Amino acid sequence: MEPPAEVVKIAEYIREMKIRGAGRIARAAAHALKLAAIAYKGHDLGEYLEYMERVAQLLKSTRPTAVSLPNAVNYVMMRVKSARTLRDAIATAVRAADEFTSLSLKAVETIGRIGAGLLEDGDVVLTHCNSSAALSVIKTAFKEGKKLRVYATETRPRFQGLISYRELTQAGIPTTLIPDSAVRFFMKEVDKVIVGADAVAANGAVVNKVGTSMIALAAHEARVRFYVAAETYKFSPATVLGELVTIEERDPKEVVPPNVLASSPRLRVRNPAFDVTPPEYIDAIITERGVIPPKAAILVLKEEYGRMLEEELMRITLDIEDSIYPAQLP
Amino acid sequence: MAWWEDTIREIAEYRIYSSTDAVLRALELFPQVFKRAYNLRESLETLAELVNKLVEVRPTSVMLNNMMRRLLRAVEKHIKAGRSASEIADALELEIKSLRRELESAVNIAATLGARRVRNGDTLMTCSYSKTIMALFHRLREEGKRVRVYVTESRPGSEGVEMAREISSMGFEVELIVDSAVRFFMKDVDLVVVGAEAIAANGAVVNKVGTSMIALAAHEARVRTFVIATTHKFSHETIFGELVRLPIIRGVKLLPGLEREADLSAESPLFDVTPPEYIDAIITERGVVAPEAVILLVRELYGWPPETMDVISAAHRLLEVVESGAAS
Repeated sequence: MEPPAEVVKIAEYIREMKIRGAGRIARAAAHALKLAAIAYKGHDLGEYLEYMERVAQLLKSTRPTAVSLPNAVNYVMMRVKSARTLRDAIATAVRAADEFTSLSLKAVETIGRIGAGLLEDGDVVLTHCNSSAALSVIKTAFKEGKKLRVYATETRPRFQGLISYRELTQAGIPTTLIPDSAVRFFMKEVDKVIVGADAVAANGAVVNKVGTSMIALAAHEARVRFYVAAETYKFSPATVLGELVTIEERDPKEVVPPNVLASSPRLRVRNPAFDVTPPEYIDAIITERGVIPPKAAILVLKEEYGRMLEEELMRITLDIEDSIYPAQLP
Repeated sequence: MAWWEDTIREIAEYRIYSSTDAVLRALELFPQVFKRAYNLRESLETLAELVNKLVEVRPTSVMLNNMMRRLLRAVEKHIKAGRSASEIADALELEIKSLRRELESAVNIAATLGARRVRNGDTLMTCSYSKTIMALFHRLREEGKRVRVYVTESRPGSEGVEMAREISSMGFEVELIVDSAVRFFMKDVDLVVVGAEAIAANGAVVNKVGTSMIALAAHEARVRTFVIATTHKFSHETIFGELVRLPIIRGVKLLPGLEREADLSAESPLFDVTPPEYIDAIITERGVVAPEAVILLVRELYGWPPETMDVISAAHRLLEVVESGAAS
């Protein structure tokens, strides 16, 4: 059975960034798995699992960088795979997807509450791109009665900063949009920077919208605190096993109109969607489990993905032992 | 004064990308003033108005200030020599022609020295639109050096796109990037080269906003940053404690792609200041020097302390010169 049209549509929306933001795409993927489970028409558990695996792969392939996507998919699939009957496996998919969605939404709220403690009355805050977790921190602090002012970067090439600007302005927070190039100019006025994350690596490096690492560098230079708001499902277990986070490069047409490219055949456009901020420039990561220093990322990873990591390490260990002591036993 | 409005607007709205070109366009208005007026007095009144206007619309352009000062000095000399308005107009045209030649040769000398610091196969990074940087690439092409260059789109204004197109049409491999991707690509870069709008007494460089971010990211990655700028960009006023004023643009006028968001509260400086610590050298027509040492070149050229007359009062003073001439 092929993935249902509705699921394919969600995958397309994620790829085309009609659904965007690490949290939102994770929830959309969980929802897509739920829809796929409900739509399954067959009668065989094995066939169902294969079908669900295909849907899982389709969803994971849409955006290479966001770790939230495979983490959401794995959250559901790990539970589905342990089911004994087809009926149970379908019900599990639905339950796990709903569970993930509510955990994810609650995480944003909890991060808001925890992070608000880090902001003080009168603070000038700078944010980049459009992160629900980061905005949750700013909005919660504002609701607590702290007077804040925000600089939102426009976030080229796709202007996600505009969405943040609208959201914050609607909440009544005085916000000014600035071009990305002006970050260092305004940094002297800024008290704290808060951004979201697309992925947190094992060493505490944060992968986020391109420009984040520039902002972190400028904040570091000006001794301005730099916080990352990230749900624990954005931490990447694969990096514990030595994998690198792939940085997605997107279409040049996001940067310049096609006619510019057509009239300048030798001109190339490089359009990386993300960059990596080293842990040295990050003061703390705000998760729904608490505020941690970035280099303690492994703490969260062990806590959240311990079993999976142990299993993987065991598999690698066995593979290596097999290659060192080949077939000694008959 | 309708006749200069178009040019003033082009300068004010930064539609002339290169600061050198903007200066030359502004100076060309000067002889016009003397051609259009009925008498010398009237032309000097108009001139004072024009100088006021130019300072108002382009406060950061030190070169404009320096060049206006030279023209005003020439005007004063001609008045004292008893020349008529139309004679002064002709003299100014000649003066501007020689200024243009002087600037062009200075830009080319600086570019030639700059090209010596670029090795075949280097990857460069630059931003905005600069005549001096264009001259560097012309020179590199003449020398047959093959380089690759990252150019930032350079918002607000996005004039980097135009420079990227022009450099690519010269046959270089050009990669256009958004301003926020500078640090991402810095590891891949051998040399940052930028132009300047102004150089302050301490060696700080005022240039298109974003330059200081690039220099900071280069510094972090131990990539050298060179500023190529002629000594005409040196701000004499800063020696006496003046700050270079940085205009802030409000709204979305210079933010292509956001034009329809008219109600947006947006702010952007056009320039920022790169501290001398992040600049490895300033390459001028008088040699390659540490940013803190440009002041030494200035001393050689103009003596010490350099004369810094305020162009606005200098323009007004010309009227007194005429009157005292008439009285005697």
